[in-house]
Amino acid sequence: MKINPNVLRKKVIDMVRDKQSGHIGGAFSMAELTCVLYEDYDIGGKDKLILSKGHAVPIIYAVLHELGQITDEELDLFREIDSPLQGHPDKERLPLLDATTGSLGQGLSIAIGHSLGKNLRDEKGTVFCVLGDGELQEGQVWESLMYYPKTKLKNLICIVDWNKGQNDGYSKDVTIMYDNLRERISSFGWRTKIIDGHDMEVIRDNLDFEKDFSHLAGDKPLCLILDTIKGKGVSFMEHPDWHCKVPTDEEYEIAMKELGV
Amino acid sequence: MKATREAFGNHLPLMGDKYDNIVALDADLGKATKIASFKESHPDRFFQIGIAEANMIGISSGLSEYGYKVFLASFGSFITGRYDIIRCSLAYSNRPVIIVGTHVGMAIGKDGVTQMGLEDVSIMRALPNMKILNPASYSEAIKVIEYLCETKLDSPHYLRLGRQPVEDVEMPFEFGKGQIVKDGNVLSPNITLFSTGCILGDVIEASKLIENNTSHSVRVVNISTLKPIDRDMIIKCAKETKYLFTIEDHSIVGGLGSAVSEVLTDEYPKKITRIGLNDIFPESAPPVDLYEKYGLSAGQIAKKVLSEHPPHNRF
Repeated sequence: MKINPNVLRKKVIDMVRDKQSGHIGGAFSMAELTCVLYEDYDIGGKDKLILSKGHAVPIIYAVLHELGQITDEELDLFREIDSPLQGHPDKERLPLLDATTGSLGQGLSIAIGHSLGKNLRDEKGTVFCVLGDGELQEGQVWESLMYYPKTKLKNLICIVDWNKGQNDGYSKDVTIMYDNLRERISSFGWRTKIIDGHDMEVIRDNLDFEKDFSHLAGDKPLCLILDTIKGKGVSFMEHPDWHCKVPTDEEYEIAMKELGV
Repeated sequence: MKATREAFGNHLPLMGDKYDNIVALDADLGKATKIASFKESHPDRFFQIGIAEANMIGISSGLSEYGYKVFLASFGSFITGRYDIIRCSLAYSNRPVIIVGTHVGMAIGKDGVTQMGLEDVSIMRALPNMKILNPASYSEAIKVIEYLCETKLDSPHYLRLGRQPVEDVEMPFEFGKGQIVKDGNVLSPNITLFSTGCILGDVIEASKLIENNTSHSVRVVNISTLKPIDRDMIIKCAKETKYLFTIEDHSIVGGLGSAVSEVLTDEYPKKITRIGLNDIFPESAPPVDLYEKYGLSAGQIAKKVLSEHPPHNRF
């Protein structure tokens, strides 16, 4: 099934506006990635999505709704009492998810556990782990980046949503890490590439081992850095201020118009 | 005299022979925690994660999704220090993983406070879904390990193991149950000493010192399941004996003393005296000197009990 990223963005805005809370910016920056993952892979089945940047979960609820895996009624329960749709991903309450996350920095370790488990069980499928760029400031991320290449496994793909913003502002104002992000991750033993994170075909091609990476696959696991824009899709939301801001009625109207579809 | 960590090192490989779903994770303390023995017997199910406890905890969470029973080991102070990782990736996620924290208590001695697990129970006890086991002796630790391997677990467990060799007290083990390991002398007991973990030998010795020198009669109860705690046993002892004490090589803030106090507050209000580390960090020294200075030697425990309840109070 073809999924339109702007349809997902509109659902996210509706959810956040309805409940007057939630994270739009980081959800929007990974809308195209979400479409590719759910179009091309058996997420929640043999393929796993570990959303380490758990605050972006509205985009996942949106795609699950679009695919008919959660109902209108369930979507309405986002952030409400007795709901499977928690503010951050809760696999116990929503088994369609592959991990419980929300405290930043933990997802890649969990994803590595999935990778090892699949390998021990000789199970097929790919484990995708999506991290935020701000999240890379957590030490545990580097523990896990340091560890995984030693396993020689390649059934895990690490994806960094490099949307340049975080809660308090621009990520580049926090650390110098982003000046040479690719080199830093590469130096930990990953084959790393920066790609356009808003071009579904580019994402698709780069996730496809056979297609794009077979000649340099070697022993290294893959880390894709998605060059993205926080709040992508709505002009005035393309700013770190929209990490967890709720639109006014006026902003809502403009946003929905800009997103079209 | 054998340490509970030795039971872990000796028995986990045997359990690994029996159950092919057991996996072990090490954070560069395999020789100290004894989890390294699993590497020799089952190298395919052993992972050296390195000095990266947070990553190890996360990996255990993911691995457990594939039907594996994961044991991850480090010192109790280090592993429970990664609280938020345990909280989110294991407790809130409710993964049936066994966190093994060794080198708990002042009893490790000379390495000092940074290596001593002294608040690990308090921290783990605060987490919903977390179960806590603190065996007292080698043979009890064997039974606990068998229980953990043989039982289908539905939540994370924290297994607390000691470094120091202790007397091997034989007793039954049932999850969630306390055990009366000594029940007074000729007279029915008027004092209960609740003990947890490897200090049990000292507590039994203290009970004998008290009985040999006074008219008190002392019951000793081993609480190896700290969470969920045996409420019935605590209430029974509160009803049957006049004076209650808890003894632990751990902080009295949040440990056994707190757990027993909570049950009494809820069900049978009664004074209790908590013996343990009184909200302080101790120091590095030979264990015997630490136990003497900080009030956990058999002699100091007996002294404390008698200072609260001189024998003439009995009748």
